[in-house]
Amino acid sequence: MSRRPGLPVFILSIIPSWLSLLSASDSLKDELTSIDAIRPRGEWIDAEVPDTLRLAEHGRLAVNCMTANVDPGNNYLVFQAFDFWEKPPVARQPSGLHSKNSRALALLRTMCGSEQNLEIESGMMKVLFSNSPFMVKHWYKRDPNPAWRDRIDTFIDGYNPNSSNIVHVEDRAFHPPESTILPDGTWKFIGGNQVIPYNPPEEPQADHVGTEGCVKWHQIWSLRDLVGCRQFSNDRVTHEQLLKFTRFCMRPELWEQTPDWGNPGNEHGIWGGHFHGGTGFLQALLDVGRVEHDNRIKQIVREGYDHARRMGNIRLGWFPCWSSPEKYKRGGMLKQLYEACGTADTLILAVKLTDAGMGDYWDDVDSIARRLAVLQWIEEDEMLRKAGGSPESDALVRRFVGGFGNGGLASRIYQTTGCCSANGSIALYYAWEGITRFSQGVATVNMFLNRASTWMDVDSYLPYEGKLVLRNKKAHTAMVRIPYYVDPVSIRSSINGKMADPVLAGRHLIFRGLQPGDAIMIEFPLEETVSQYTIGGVVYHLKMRGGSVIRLWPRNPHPELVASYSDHYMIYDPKYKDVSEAPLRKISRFVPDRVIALDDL
Amino acid sequence: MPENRREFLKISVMLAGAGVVPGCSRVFFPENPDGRVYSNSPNIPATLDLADHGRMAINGILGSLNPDVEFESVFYHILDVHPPYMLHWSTMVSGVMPKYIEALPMLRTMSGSRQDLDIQEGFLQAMLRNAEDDGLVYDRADETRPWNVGVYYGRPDWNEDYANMAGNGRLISGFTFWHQLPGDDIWKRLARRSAERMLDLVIEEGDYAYYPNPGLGNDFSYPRESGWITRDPPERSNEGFEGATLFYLLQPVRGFMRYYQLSGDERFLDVSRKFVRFGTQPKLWGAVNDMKPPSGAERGHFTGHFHGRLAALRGMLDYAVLAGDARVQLMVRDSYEWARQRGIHRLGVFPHTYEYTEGCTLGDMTCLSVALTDAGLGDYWDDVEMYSRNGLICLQATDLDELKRVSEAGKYRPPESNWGGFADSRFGGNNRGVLPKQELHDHVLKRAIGAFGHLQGARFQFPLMMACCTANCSQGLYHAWEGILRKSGRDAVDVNMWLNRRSPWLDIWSWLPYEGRLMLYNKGMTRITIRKPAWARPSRIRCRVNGVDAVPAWSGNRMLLTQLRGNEIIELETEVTRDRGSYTLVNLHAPHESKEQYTCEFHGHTAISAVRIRAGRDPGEPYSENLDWYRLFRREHMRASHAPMKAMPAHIPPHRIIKCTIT
Repeated sequence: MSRRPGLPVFILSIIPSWLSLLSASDSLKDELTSIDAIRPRGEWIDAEVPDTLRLAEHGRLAVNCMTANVDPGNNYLVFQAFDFWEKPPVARQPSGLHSKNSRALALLRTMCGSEQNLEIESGMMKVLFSNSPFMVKHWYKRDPNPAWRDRIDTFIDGYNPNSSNIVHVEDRAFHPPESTILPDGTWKFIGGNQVIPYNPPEEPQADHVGTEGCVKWHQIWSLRDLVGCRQFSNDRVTHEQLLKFTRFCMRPELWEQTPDWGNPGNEHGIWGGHFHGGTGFLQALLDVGRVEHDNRIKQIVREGYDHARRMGNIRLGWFPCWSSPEKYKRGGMLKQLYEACGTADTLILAVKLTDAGMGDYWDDVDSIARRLAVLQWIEEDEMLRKAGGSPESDALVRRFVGGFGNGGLASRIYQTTGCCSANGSIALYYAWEGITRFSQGVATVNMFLNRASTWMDVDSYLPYEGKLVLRNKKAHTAMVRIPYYVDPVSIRSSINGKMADPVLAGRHLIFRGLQPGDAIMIEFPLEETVSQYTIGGVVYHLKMRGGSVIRLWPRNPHPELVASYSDHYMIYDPKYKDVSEAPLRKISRFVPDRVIALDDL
Repeated sequence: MPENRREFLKISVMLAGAGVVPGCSRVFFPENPDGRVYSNSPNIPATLDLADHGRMAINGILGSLNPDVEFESVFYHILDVHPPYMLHWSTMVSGVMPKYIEALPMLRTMSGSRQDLDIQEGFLQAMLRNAEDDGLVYDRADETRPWNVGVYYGRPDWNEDYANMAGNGRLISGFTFWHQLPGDDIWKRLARRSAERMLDLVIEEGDYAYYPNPGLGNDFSYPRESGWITRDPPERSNEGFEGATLFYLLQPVRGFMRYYQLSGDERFLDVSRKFVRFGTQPKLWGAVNDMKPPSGAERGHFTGHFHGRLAALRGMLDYAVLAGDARVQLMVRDSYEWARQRGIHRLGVFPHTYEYTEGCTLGDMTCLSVALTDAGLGDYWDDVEMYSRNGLICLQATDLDELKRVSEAGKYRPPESNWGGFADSRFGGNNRGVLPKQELHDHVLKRAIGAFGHLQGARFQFPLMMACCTANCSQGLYHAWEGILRKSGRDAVDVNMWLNRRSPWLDIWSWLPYEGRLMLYNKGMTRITIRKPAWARPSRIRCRVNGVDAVPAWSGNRMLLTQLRGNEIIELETEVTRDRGSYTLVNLHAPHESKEQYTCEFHGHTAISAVRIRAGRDPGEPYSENLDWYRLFRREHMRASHAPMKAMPAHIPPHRIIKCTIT
């Protein structure tokens, strides 16, 4: 068994282009990063709820990993690799992923209210305090302290478009991927074994050069930072720089070469290879399209998402680590493998597209979220058992409970990775936040998933029963989106036990005249269906209830995967079999005072 | 006397007694259904009004009919010679005219046009007479119509009556649409006769159902005297003259499903399941080189006849929605999105071979995007609006002067010559040259107004109009128009697209693409939701109710206005985003030959210009140079910052309108 999955590991190699690299008074830094400033605010309430998928609980477990897979003694760098098939297990590869952890933690605490390891998060923020406008913008969303906003302005003022780490060619600009500039001004590739050679600072002629094989993805820090600046200012320098980076990314060479199909990749968002790289980049590109009001770009991103969806299986929420890896000189095994980063980024992209008004992708989000939850390492006993069970290893293993890693269609490899853990966590929040939204007395329910909020609690009995209960707190109107697998005509609903007669508007049921305390019950027939799909050359059968996978067969890992990783933890345990009533559970659930709004464009 | 025939006679008596067909105009024109007319009707922006295009489409449809031959439709208008002419063709009666039955009640509803009701009545009577025997409409072997076989379609040496099964499936749909308006049971009974006969003729083998292809007339047609001379199932996706196996096998499902919805007769759901099971066999799907064949097939990727596939997808979706078959629903969605990526969807141009877009394709894309939205498989209203504002209306002949110019620029052609215009294909292949009375020369250009044809790239209309395109694109117009707003519940309306439309509940006036302005005249609604187009930003939309700024609630991509009194004027304003992009046309048949490129300029969803920057063919090849054809995207005037104004149209459609999609 190889020690590493052979997966590309993203390494932060971009030298910041922010000349000022903002110093701030210690007192300001202490104030903004204090435990009190970052403590989740909200209310804990006791409730008896259906014991079905609770993303908030997955978020709570993710907080554990996000605060414990870092090394406080080493600037809070994140252990990228944690393989607990090893006895004893070892946490390896400290890497600069702590900015992702920090972003994730703000979100996770909002959804679950966990106060675990607040001091670690605070310490991490101090280290990252001058990191980037994107990071600061994120913190500003959680804590609307004007001091954060001031720091964004300072970033804008300090931006240097001619920073030495940016290469300019004609009307384009880019960061040489996986490369760094040395003190003597020469460039060096630092990414490891080059599958397709790349020679910095040349302009890359394909997306798949280097080790990681995702050149466009390596531009997203600059894209995000520049988008952040554009949001808050009309600064000409950052505007032009954003366009230059975008032009670089839209070069035909960096998209799928499609002579066999006829439609050029860069016109239609057709990409290939590294899945996380592809969907992660599309997120940044969508932000560019939105901030620049460029409908052409927004449509390209939409098509890019369509393309992503057809490379996977949306009912399963399955997406491969790489599409057509052989085409890009990578091992064929990569198409049998998932990387939680890729799954997470596809989910996030679906939410962002929906929020951008580019379509309605909530059913996709529901599917992917249900799979993402299955991909998370929450089985502490199994993790401890696998790692061998000494006091030392147990303590180490427990730090990674709640993390994400890699695996196959129906299995996980006994490992977590830092990038996947952070991206998976962020995606959990995107799904959770999208479950219900509130605007001026109108509560919108987008997905039949559990969630508590200040305006309405959503209790879902799926996949046991076709049943949803909405416990109203503030809304006068509820708009409940009906998933595609439910026939709206078959729905029966009641308010406080009395039959209701909601209006069907498009695919939304509208309940009007609601009062605080009203309980709205929505019931519909939930049939089991079996479908057949060919994935990675294997014919799979999929038994589903609504959007939930109940059973998948064959359930053994793909032979190509077993050749690299012999040991797998099997998922999709058919525990729902023959159970037609959801078990109930008494819990204490967190209701945040305010959520972090993700759509700010 | 066969039972079916006896039933028809009963229906005929009832039809005559009820005056339904002779008096059909009565059905469509309730006067002022909202009970009020503005005393000072405001001027409204002179911007895209789909109802107006629907009005012209009635001219196009009825203008194609020949009262001298049982109101049979011509297939082509040949426009690039003078004088221009129209052509009769094989298989119009059972293959295309049922689609007119579908389209006409839609177009009357949306436009309020009373044009040529007598011709419409003659057409309906002729079709019902034709279906008198067994409920199916046949192309007849009759000496007055020597084009019955062997004019592109069908073996020339086999001439007998035949019923195209795809067309007859659409006949059933048409009857159900007529049924929706007056709610008269007679249309349901007509639908039942046709559906029962089609069911009789189904060949079932295990879990599959299909019709065979004997080779008489157009593909997969039933020979009335000979019966099925073969029972062999189709093996490939490109069988027959059209090369569109699934087009013929899955359009009957559209009729079956609508009849099932009307009747609850489970036999039609069951047989449709078997048709769809047959039609989703992996060997009938898959594109070239885009992914491994089984995966491509599961996702509905395809090669070949673009319109043929889309028409089949619509049947599959109808079945999947009613059967709750999620696998097929998602396959249709995948296939639609894959198809959308073959074209320049923002322009509404979807080439089939080289740069050539068949009108039917865009009619189908429009209808399918509405159907997918209604099925809850996504939000495709922006697609509908993009197609409607651009490709769909570009396919329609609306400019008589331009038609005259094209004709006069062409060669002089004496009628009945043994050569023809560019698209006259009678002089080669499976054709027999000029046949007696096949050509019509009477008022051809005026009769072409409102008809639909094909596109050459994004530059020209082909110099022909084609009856199937007219029928399918007309329905595309209606699907889009109907989707602009929807009544929900007793006193609420949902606005889906920023396009002009009147209704008994709400009038919408759009200043796009000149100005980002939309005005809604509320006529009794207490709640209105307004969907935001993808190009607009929520934070930049200013909303005023009776001139006073209002802050609507947002639910996803929709603004909500509640607690309305019912008489408000609601105004939305935002900046119209403008962008420019270059796009390549895909040659679906030879992807490596996809060369033609355009630079397009958009204001919102409207293409203001589409300029070819690279030709799809080499210099000297056909179509590579400028042509004297009907020019598209002549839209310089849309750069103005203020919309021109016009008087408000009088027609308000009735409360009850046709719901085309299955939900």
